[in-house]
Amino acid sequence: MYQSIINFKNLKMNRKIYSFVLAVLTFGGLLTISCSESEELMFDLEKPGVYFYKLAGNEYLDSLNYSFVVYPESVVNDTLEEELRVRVMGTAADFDREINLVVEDSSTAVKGTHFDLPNSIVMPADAYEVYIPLYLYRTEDLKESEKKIYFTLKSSEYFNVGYNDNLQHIVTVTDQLTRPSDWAGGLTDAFYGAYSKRKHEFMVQTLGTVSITMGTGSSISEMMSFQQKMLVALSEYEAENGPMLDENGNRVSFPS
Amino acid sequence: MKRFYGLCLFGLFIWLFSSCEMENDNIYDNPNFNEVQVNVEETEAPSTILQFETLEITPSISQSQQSGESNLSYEWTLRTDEQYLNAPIDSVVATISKERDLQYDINLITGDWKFVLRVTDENTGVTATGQFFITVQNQFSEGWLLLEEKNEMGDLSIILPNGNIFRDIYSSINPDAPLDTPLRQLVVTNFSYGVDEIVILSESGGVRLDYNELLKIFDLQDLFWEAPVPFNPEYHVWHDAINGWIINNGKVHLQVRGGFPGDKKYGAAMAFPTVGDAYHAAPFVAQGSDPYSGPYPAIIYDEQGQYFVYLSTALSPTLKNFPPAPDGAAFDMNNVGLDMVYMETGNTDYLINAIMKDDSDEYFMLQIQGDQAEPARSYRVMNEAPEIANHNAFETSKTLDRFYYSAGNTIYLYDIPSGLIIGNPFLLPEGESITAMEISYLDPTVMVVTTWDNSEGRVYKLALSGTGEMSLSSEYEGFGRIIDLAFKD
Repeated sequence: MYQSIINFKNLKMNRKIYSFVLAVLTFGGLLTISCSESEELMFDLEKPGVYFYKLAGNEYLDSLNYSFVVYPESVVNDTLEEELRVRVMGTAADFDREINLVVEDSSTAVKGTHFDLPNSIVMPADAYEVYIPLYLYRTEDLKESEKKIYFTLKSSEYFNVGYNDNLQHIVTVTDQLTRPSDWAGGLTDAFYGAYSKRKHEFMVQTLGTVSITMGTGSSISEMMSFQQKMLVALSEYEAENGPMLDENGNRVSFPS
Repeated sequence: MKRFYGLCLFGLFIWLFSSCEMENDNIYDNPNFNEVQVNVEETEAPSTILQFETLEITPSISQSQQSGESNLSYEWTLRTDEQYLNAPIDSVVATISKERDLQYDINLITGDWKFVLRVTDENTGVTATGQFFITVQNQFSEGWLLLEEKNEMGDLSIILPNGNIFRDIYSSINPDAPLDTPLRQLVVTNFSYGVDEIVILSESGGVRLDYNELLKIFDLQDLFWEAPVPFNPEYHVWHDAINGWIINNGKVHLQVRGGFPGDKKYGAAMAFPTVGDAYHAAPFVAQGSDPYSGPYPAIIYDEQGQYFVYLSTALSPTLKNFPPAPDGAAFDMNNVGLDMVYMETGNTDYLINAIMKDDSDEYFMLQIQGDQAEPARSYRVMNEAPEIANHNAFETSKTLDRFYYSAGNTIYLYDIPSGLIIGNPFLLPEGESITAMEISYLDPTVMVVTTWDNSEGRVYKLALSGTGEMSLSSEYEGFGRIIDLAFKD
């Protein structure tokens, strides 16, 4: 009996020791993991990141719609000097560092046909930021379609990728003149008269914008201003060339 | 064993607890500690003050252990007292004094401000603060605003209804935005509805001011969809709160306000019928009929072609030629053949007076009735208008079919129907030349006249009788060269 009592006491003793040790280990473990330093807050000084920089308020603007239609026919190419703006998330260096700017295969625009990039794309020595020029070409097929260029920044010998939300950029190029959906009678007609393609072309080239109706981003007050500008422009055109005729043989005019 | 485990657990608990215990030994409980207090309740300080007055506060300060204040230093700061969400409730604008008693000139915009006194005991470094909440009010709600040039700078002064004068208001409120000179025009609207404006035109620019604060809020170029080049604003007027006009370098720019959405700005140069922009508008836009009902809401004169055009009442208004003049018309609106001298709305609704001249400097009075299909009302040679060719200012009577014109220091009252001068000319002091005359619609019995004697500008208030004759009511002096004036309601 005494032996069984002793055995029972030993059993209880072992359980208590076991529980105590377990508690200490658990507590100690919690302390250890709760105070560990978060490593991902520090950037890599050896290999900084790159990203597309957007102005405050446009952080999520990852695309540009470019149209040649606002320019005269004589304009056959353009260079976007400031569209592709790349910054370093890290330190500058005292030598040029290559940036891996990739044009995705999903792009419908063709390099060498619709656009080009510089042969060498680098972050210059001592710089934190660079503008990569984008050369655009006005091809015939753009009159009937729009082409997209999908850019992605990828890691290179000198750079990792930076902010995940700022690694891609899309440029859409076209030379199409699309009739505004709200130019079919109504308010727009009150300012510009009946629609014709020739009138529309003339307006876009005179005003330098496709945003000429409320549906395309203008406003009533601005449309009043556009109307006056077109009246003057048409008067000057007619003084030199006589009446302007549209694709239907009708004389182009604006309400006056 | 139980006790052993219990002791271990207890010890562990005590160790954990002690690591989180708040340190209480920062509280300095010393009965000899000198407490400094700024007694705001016992300090006399105003709750409101007018702009440009001097704020004086003599604070009540007490110390628990010290007599005298040789141990104290002071700092007054000016802070905003904004209550907007997500904006600082209190941000320091400036440190304004290190003296005990505050004397501060209130060159602030209207609103709620906080003046904070921080008193420091230099022996202990302990500070005490007192906050004084003061509302700054505007004293320019009503009066005659004067646009003047002095020392080659532009500025505004105001004569309040009680005769008090405040000078150099614009430069005091807008020290970092000096007015371009030479100045051209001051426009103050007193709309019955809508947002009132104060606009100052200079030869190559202009500004728009906040109506209450007189603080610059825009450059004039910012009010255009596309600022014209060159920027040379010559004239500005509002017709009701609906149509705003600016004539810039002889071209007409219109801003239409209404209940439609989007920003409202001045548009591109308006096209004249058939000639596009081949015109040079005289610097006047007279209001004819009601803007919405027509037939001629506004009338403009082309100095180049020497004819009038009018603004249509279409949804998108354009400038149009008048209908051909019928036989017997007083004159042909489409073929006037004279130079415009001055044009202004007359004394009755829709009546417009236009003073014009020919190449031989003979003067003519044309009247236009803007609510009539045939608007040419009368045409008279101004045979009986002495010194009209030497005019320096015009102003139409608001109650009579008459107008005032000045030459040198003399004011004449011209009766339009008879073509005669009424009464004796009114003479201002010799050596003074009249620079501007103005009658406010809000009080048509007073005409304010400004003069310049090559060193000082003066202001004269003339009482107008029932027949329009003038008598001196009051005078003010000490101004620069007054270019224009307007009544602010």
